[in-house]
Amino acid sequence: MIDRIAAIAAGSLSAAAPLLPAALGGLLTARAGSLTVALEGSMLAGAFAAAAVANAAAPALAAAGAAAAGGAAVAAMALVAAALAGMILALLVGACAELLGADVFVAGLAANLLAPGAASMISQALYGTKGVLVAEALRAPAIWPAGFAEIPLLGRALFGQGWILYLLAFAAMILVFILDKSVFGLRIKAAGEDPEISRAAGIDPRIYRIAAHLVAGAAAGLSGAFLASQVAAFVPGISAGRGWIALVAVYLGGRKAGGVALSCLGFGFLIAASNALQGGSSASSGAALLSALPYVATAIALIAWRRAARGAHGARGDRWRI
Amino acid sequence: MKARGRAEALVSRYLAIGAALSLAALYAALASSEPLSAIRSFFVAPFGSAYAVLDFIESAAPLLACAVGASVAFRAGAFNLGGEGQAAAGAFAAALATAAFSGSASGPAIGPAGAGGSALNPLLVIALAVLAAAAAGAALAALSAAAEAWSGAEVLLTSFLFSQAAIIAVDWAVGGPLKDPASNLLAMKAIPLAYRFARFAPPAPLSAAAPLALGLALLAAWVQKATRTGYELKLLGRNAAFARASGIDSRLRGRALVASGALFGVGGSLVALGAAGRAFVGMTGGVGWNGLAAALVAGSDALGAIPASLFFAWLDAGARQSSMLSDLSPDSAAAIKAIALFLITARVSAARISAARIGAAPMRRGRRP
Repeated sequence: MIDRIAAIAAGSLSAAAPLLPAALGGLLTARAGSLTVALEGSMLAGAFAAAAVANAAAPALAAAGAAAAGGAAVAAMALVAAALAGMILALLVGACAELLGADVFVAGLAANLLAPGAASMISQALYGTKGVLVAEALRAPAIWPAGFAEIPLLGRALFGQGWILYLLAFAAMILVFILDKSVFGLRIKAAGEDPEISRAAGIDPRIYRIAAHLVAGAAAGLSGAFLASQVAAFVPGISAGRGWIALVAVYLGGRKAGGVALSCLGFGFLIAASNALQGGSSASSGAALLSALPYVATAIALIAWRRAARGAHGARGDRWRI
Repeated sequence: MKARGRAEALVSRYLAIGAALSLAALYAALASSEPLSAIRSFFVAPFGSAYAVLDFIESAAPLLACAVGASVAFRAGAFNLGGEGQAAAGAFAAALATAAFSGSASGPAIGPAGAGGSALNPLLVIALAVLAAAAAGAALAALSAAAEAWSGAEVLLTSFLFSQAAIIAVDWAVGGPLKDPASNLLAMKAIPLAYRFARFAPPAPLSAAAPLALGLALLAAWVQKATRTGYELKLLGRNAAFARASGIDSRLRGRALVASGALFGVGGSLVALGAAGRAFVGMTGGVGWNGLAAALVAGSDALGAIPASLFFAWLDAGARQSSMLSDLSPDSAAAIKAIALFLITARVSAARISAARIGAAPMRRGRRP
């Protein structure tokens, strides 16, 4: 029983981890008044860039005798590449929306269409494969002494994970700081809430909106690198709708960083619980249907939440809309 | 004045598509070791023979039904992002309906009509299958419409979430309990040839799927352009508050969403009853998302969805051809579609913004495709 709880706790964290930075980045763009739907694309771009760098560096690493320090350097480079790839895609969306007057929603959808196509094209041109891109260097080892993960209940969740998960947690903390404690975050909020006044105060709202897109893209790119590190490879379709789930978390969280984080954890728990309930049963048994549970439960939570908000405010719940 | 603005928007749309194609040619020239043959196989090969042309027209049919579905929802301001799941539900329902009504569930997999004993007329079965597909897609969209009416939950999110759940459920059913035990594929039993969309002049691949999708597009275009409902839906999409103040029932948007789901469902049925000829795991293969992109390229206009779908199908065919005949990636089509979408949303809105500067239209918020 205790083992089972430990497994679900660990699974919840590793399922929630890639959602968290992406969703907080999404929240930043929501505050800027330019909510991005390109998180899915940035995640996929990040996963591909991380795997591409790790894959390209692998022969050099092997030649150098695969020193541990070399492996860490490659992983660091892969993470930087992932953040940059996410940012490039986000820059396309942000610049189109803010400088060329494109609809941010349509531009975001275009980015989500572009990312898999471009990844496949680059993969074909540089690596000669449009399928799986192996990246062993991304396999993140655990960093704590082995005994820590044996601690009952939460040991495995807190100490049994690869180091990229802790990096994502750190990135999430930085994002919360940007959102709620920094001048930059305040200006982004001003750009979103009242562009006229922020312009009068000498702040060009467009610049801050684009900056919000860039931060969101970098965060989603890191999330994507984590996904690639989990399987030590890039696989087409690896983001599998997680960018959209991060977007749902932005809405569910009611514009608050804490709420968004809680939504991500809730979704992570649903994924872990549905995996645990399926146990080792085969894919064709009824238990496989439980994979749909996180989506249905999230939809129900959203509907109930909106209904409750409408009851509390009398009106159509517009207060909660982003 | 209005006509001139529309003409300008149209011109900028085609300029954007032309620019995307030039980029595609540039990519083909740079990435391939044999640029000329790559460019030829990409752009010309889909028109290389009557067979090739009919083939890509046929493959445009499911895409067109989905694009019309997306345009119906978008124009009314309902952000239906569940097209992929609605198409999967439709394809699944069509396969189930054919199995149930053709008597093939127990009979031989491929055989003449009537082989299963209680079989109905094939045409009737196909009609019932398409209707079942429409009902399945509509039911899935209706969940989101009802949720919005009851609680105000965003269609954008619920449609996506319900769609993901539907895809998982359909894939589970098709690859699990309903899997054809005689086959190695994760698929249901093949639909008997008599119950698929028949080819008009075999071996040419053109079937009744293409005229059906075309008819749906024309019908939707007629509703959008010539009926009061179409006008009210457009107002709802442009400015919901104004529409409500003018006495337009905002539940109309929910109905547009349900109609959109039905069209996506039909699009899915065209996959199962058309070229694929069976329901298999992952059968929709992005047709919902591509239909959505085609609708956006067409500015949420059902009539414009016809050339947009043909354009997308041509790109797909070209990318397929060039990946077979040269060393280009078959996914280059997706990137070109995305670039066209970027260019179109930027250019069209640039025209709108210059209108906004002189006070003709609201600049931010509320302006949607």
